[in-house]
Amino acid sequence: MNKHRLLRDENQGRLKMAGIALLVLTLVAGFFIHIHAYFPGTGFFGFQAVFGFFACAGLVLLTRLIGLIIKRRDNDHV
Amino acid sequence: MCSLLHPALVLIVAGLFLPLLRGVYRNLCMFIAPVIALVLVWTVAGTVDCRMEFMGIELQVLHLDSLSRLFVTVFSIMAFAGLLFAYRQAGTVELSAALVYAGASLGVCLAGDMITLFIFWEIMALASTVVIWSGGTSASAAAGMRYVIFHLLGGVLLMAGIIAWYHDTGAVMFSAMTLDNMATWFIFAGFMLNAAAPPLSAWLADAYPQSSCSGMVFLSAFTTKTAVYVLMRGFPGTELLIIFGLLMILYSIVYALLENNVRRMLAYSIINQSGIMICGIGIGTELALNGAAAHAFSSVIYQALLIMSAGSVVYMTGKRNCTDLGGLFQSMPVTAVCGIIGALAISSFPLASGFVSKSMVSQAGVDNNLFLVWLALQAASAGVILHAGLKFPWLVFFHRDSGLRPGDPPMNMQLAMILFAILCLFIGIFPGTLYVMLPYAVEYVPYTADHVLAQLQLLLFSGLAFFLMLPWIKANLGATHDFDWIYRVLLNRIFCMLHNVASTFVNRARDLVITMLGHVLRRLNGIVLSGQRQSLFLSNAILLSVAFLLIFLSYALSA
Repeated sequence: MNKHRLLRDENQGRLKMAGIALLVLTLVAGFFIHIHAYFPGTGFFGFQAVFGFFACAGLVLLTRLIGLIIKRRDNDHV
Repeated sequence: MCSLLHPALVLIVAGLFLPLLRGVYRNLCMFIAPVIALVLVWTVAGTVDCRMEFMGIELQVLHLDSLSRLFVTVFSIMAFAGLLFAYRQAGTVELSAALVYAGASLGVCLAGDMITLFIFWEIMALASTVVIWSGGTSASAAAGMRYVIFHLLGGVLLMAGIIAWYHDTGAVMFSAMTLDNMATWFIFAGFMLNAAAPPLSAWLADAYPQSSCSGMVFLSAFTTKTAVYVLMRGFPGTELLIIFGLLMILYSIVYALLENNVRRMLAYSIINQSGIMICGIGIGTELALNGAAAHAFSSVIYQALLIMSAGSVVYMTGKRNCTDLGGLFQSMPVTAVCGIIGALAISSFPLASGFVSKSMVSQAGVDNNLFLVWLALQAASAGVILHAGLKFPWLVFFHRDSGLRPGDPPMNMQLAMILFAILCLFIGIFPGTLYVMLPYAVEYVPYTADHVLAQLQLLLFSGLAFFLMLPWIKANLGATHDFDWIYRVLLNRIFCMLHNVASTFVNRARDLVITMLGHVLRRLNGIVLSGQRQSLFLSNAILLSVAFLLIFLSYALSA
């Protein structure tokens, strides 16, 4: 079966590079566009990027912990 | 006297007559009803009130203003697109119930008094239960039963509150209230149950995914959003709602992140988005209420789009778990593109509808100097990426190739998805079209360079965290215990235990009595009976004795 062009190995690398370039671009744009700080301590360069990354990482970790208590087998309750 | 035909009645009557019609008349009746409702509320300007007297109480059966017009508009659009998605796959009962359900939700939004509101509220509960039962499986039958029990309980709370309110004030008009007496607390609890606020939230993720692929599209729109509407009317600025809203956001992210079942994951995302609206209602300023209303409008559309996309996948593949899916963009391009647009909208990506509505609520938090609320809403934006924003489209349409090649769903389902995808982008690109319908004048400007850049940074780096932690996210996928564990497992175990204890006690007591009486009878008559005959004999003897005793007592009393 022919692989879709997005799934071919050579394009996978290109897609990753494009993703990283996009991330860098949004950070670099912060040098030219001043992001308004609504509250003290939120005005440093790349605050939104750092906050987004760590908020997600924190939520994944929190979920892993809570999952230890609330996970069940798929056919429980049925 | 009313100058306007009640839009709710148009849909309800169409729903009730639908089973009697066939072919083109059936389709005509189905699709024209929401259009008529839409025309009715947009051909009259300003505020319209219709009053009537019932049992000496003056009712305002119809109150149309900018807020109710906004909700009636989006519910009518939703009913139309939902029927388009469903009409070739769903049975007549489901379509009929969906029309009644949509009509009742319009009735709630147009109710000017609490008695009218309550009647439509209950019709909504019953019609939505029929939609769930139309799933046609034993699981949907059981889930529908749990759902209706919960919603009738909510109805009882609401009714108790309304009666107490009428007793205290002598009025039944539906206006803003404060939580300073038992009546308003009961009304509030009834509303919060329908909003799926924890701990009264498990019914949603329990019941909705058990409905049919099209049924969940209707369910996602009406019940929770009518609750948002009534909270906006009844309890604006109630600070407790901020806490509930934030709790709903966090709770739903955790559950959606753990969930492997695609439709259950999207069910939690409904709670997540309602949490944002409820937070806005709690803040209570004009900007916050505008934000909550705008977000309700846009979320009805993108939630339905996401659920249509997931429903199409389930319908075409028969698979419901993320781990069984993947690589479907190759054979379901329309479904994938529409699902991605829905995901962009729910993630508040610039140029999609969520961006222009959710940011109003965040801005209201800033304007009121609510740092923690603002921070939590930012975290919620990041958190959405972890479920509906990226997890759903990535694991279902991309990621690993599952080898499934099902093809896009039938044309009517595709058309409904395309319609809503266009609406998501249209609202995102031209926010003025939504803002002009909001209850208060809008000065807010969503598209400023720094706002767009801040949002892009937040979302793209959240996406980076998602991809880096994907192995952990996948390792956690499965099913979860929600608050329904209390009544489906814990209470069940307690009742079983009590039943066993009671049975043992009764059996022991009966054996003891039989043994004692047998002993006495043997002593008296020398009758020797054993086993079952002994028990039968003694049971009859006891019954006869009781009967004689009763006859004697009745004779003695009458004498």
